[in-house]
Amino acid sequence: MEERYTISEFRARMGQNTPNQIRIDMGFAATHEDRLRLVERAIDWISQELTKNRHLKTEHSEDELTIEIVGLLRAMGFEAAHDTQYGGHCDIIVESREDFLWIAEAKIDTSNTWIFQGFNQLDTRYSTGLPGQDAGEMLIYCRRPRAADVISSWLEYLKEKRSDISVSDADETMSRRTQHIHEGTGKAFKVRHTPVTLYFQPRDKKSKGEDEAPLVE
Amino acid sequence: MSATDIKSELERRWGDDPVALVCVKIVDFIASLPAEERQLLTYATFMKATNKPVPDAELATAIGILVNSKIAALDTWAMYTDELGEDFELTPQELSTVQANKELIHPETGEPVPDYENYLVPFFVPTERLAG
Repeated sequence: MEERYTISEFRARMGQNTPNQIRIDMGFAATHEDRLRLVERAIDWISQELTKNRHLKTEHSEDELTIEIVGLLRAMGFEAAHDTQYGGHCDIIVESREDFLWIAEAKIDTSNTWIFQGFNQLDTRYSTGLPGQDAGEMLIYCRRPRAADVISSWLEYLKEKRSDISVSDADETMSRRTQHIHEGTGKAFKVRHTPVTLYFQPRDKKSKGEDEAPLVE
Repeated sequence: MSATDIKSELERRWGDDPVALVCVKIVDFIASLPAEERQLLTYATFMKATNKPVPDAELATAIGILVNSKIAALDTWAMYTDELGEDFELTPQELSTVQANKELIHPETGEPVPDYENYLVPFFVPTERLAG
């Protein structure tokens, strides 16, 4: 008789790392809520990986960072693409079964004005707001210190510009969520705002020309 | 749709990505089975189809693509076998709810099943897209 794996056994065989667990869970997703949860989980893991290697990404452009994210999403089985036409050139799209569509706009934290431009692209140009297409993401590549403050500042700016947008309270994660009524559909459109921490200013090595501090006897 | 159409779509959406080849092997294997043997495909079935002695990331990715991407060639069901050896089938929707809530309620007793993933065996059923 053919061997049959329980879910536990298959998970154990595959190893407990996050990408493999996401791959397994892709096989169980049957609703748009499942699909969104998986995309967000994948983005969280990818964001963490980019942060771990931020010392190698100090010169990366927005597009280079985004293309790396798309590659990692595809490696987990997401049908992800960069620069695809959906009302314009979207930074990241993920398409899935039953017309699920998730769009992310990615911006380096140059200024709140710059990030707001991305938000408007996501909200008014790319997103459809239709069922299964009613959630998106702002990925903010934080080259400045204190990513949590960058996000807070950005959301304060967004609230001033768009009084129709409600902002969730901060939780234990780095992400924050907003919601507003999509102008196209009249239905709720949810956006998650996620910082990708890329700030890198190590202070462990002596700078050139700096004198050694003498030991105190 | 047919297996040929599914394979064309895989090529269009995934190009020369190695995982597409794994998906094609699975699709070809399913298409080669008699109709009555296609309704209870398991992880082990796909390991046999792809000559993989152990499951790996490539296999899990391929299954995810066949189930959850626009390819949508498979639905995932599950069999729950309780401590008395009685079997209960979970539909894709029921399985999704169990996984989302991280809780399986016994269909007859109404009690939560501890460590439920130890008792759930997923099986895969071709959708209409692969039935042709």
